[in-house]
Formats: sequence, C-alpha cells, structure tokens
Amino acid sequence: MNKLFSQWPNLFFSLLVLGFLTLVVSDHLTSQTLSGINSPARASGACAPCGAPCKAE
Amino acid sequence: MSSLSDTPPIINRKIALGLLGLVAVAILLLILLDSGITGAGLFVVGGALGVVFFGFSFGFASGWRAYISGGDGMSLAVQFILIGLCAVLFIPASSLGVDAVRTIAPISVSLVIGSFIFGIGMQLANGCGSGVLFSFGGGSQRMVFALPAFIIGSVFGAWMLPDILRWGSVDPIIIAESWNVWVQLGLTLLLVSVAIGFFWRAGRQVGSTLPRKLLVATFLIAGLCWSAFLLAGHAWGVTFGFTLWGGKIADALGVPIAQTEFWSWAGPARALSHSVLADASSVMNIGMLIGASGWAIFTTRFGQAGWPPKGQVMAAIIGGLLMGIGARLGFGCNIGAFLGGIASGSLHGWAWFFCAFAGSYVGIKFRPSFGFAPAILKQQTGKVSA
Repeated sequence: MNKLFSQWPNLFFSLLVLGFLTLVVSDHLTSQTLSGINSPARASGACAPCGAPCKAE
Repeated sequence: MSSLSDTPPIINRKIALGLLGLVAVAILLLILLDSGITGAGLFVVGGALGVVFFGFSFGFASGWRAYISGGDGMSLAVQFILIGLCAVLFIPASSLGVDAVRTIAPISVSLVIGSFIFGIGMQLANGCGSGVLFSFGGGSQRMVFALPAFIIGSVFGAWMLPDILRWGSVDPIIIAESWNVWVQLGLTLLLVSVAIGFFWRAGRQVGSTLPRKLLVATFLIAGLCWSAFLLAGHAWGVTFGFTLWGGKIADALGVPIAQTEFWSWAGPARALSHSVLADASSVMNIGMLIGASGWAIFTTRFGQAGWPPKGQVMAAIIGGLLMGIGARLGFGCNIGAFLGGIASGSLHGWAWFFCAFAGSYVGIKFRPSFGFAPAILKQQTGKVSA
C-alpha cells in the first residue's frame, strides 16, 4: 500500500488519462459531426476569441 | 511523501511511453474523423508546444514574478521577443494572402476586471493558462488542483461575461487601424521593442543575462505559433478549450448551460454541440498535455515536483478559479490575450498586460500567506517552479 501511495502520480495520472480518453470518445460518439475545425473567433459577428459579438450588432 | 526516485516504479517508463503513444494515436484518429488534416496538424503542433514548454521550462508567470519581486526583467524581455516574432506574421497576414483572423477583443470593464484577477490567480497557482497545462502534463501535483479549478472558474466566467460586458465596452481597437498593415506592424514592433529594451535593461541592472536556452525556446515557440496560426486561421488560444470542457461536463450533468447567453453566441453554441476534437483550442490543449507528459516521462522528470504543502494546494485552487473567471472576462490568458492580442496589433492586448501585471503584483503580495517564499532569486528567471 505504501508503495502504491508513494507512486501515486504514476497511478493517478494513468487513471486520469484513461478517464479523459473515455470522456473524449463518448463526446465524439454523442456529438454532431463537423467536417472541419471549429473556432469561435472565426464565427460570424465574433468580436473576441471566445466569440463574443461586437457591441454594434 | 517520497519522490518517484525513492522506489522502483510500478509502471515501467517504456510501458508508460507506449501507453501514452497509443492514447495519442487513438486521439489523432478521432481528430482526423472530426476535423480532418487541419485538426491533426493542430494536435501535432500542440504536442510540440508541450515538449518545448516543458523541456525548456518556459513560463510566463515566473518571469513576471522575477521582475516584480527582484527587478529581473530578462524573462519578460524574452516574452516580448516572442510577441514581436508572432506579430511579423499575424498583422500583415491578410496582405500576404493568408486566410486568418487577428486576435481582437473589446476594450471593456470586463477586460480590466478579468485580466486583473487573472494576474492574481496566475501568481497564486504558480502558472498561467499554458503553464497549468504543461505542468499538469508533466505530472505536477499542484496542477491536479489548479486545472479543474481553472475549468470550473471559466464556466462561471462564461456565465458572467455577457452581463459584465454591458457594464461598459468599446468595440475592438486596432492600433493605427486607418493606416495599412505595414504601418500597423511597424508601430506594434516599435512598442514591442520599447518593452524589450525596458525589461532587458532592468535585467542587466540586477546582473542578469539573456539565457541562450530561453532564446532558443522562444524561436521554437514562435515557429509553432506561426504553424498554429496558419492551420487554425487564428492565433493560438488555450482557455476557450477549458471553458468548452467545463461547459460540456456541466451540460452532461443536466445543467441547462446551452440556454445561457454565452453559449447562445454563434461560436460557443457551435462548439458546444460538436465534438471537443473539432475545437481548435481543445485539440491543441490535448496535444500539449500529451506532448508534455511524453517528454516528462522520457526525461524521467514526470511528477518530480512532489506534493505541495496544504497552503499551496489552497493557493492552486483559488488561483485556478481566479484564472478561469479572469480568462473569460478578460478574453484570454497570457497566450490568447497577451501574446495573441499584442501580436495582432489589438489595443486590448496591451490593456490586458497592464491590468494582469497589476494583478500579479497583488498576487505576489498574497503568496507568503499561502506558504510561498516571499521573494525569488533572479537566477530563477524563466523557470517554472510548479
């Protein structure tokens, strides 16, 4: 147990990578398909990197 | 807590690298399905950024701290060199036939508040947006707390942004907008040169020299920023990916996030309804995490920083939350707003820098309360202590 505890970064990060991969795959399977890369900065009317609209609009 | 070197590893280094490689290939294939060759290219660029940032310990937060605490501006001078190198492509991109948009953002009350609290947060968490990411990838226990807090904070920041934008906002201002892009570039390079000179001189006054290693890293990062700009069609950004991850988790947990104003804007709405692997920021972030992890495992530096004291764990959580909120209100972090904004010739980048700098000053004052040493040595310039 002590050994496991002392090695926790390895184990913890391995579990984290596995969990993250599961989330990414499930998100991929449940999301709409898009044939290209998405960037809110390039969305129509975007006035900021997050896609916030211009005040004038 | 003993370090990794004290006991024989449970997971062999070669096996860990092999498993990480498999994960990278699996994600790469999914990215190819979701966003094609462009997405795959951005994933590779993100991975390379993770290797360079972690390998050269290139940090923003520690460089700012070195100047504020000890007057050593050499790392800040290097950061402005990076901005100048990026500006050479970003500002005249349209005239060069590049299909890309510059990083612009409103000058607003939210920008002032957001960048100020981001500055506090990055000193408490010991890393900015990119710093949290590559340190987490490198096995930093501190960032295990800072990164989730950053994500949670950015979800709250996204919820707050539309209302705070109504407190006062002026549409984006490009420096010398009425002139052609070459004049705009010249003026931005002049301002950046003044900043380089100022911080370089400050560094020299305390006996610091420009570290060659850091300069090499700067040119490598600039090349990768150019690649990201050409592939994505805009400057590299880190924090929208965090907001999207948090938004998707909240959405999956039944929080009616899609009905809030931020997520009804065209860009965020599109991102929320599609795969994270179709979002440029997320793809690069995942690449950066894997790149930093791979390099950390390869060089046996993974998780070597050790467990932080309780006070610093608290600082990482508070710092992460502040950075998350601040990044949304301030339109980005050191990468998206400071680097991307100034290198695009947008006035908001400079405003972000001054406000985040003031915030950093406050954050540094609070650091001893969380168990950090009150000052840092000038030799630490450019190094991330995460």
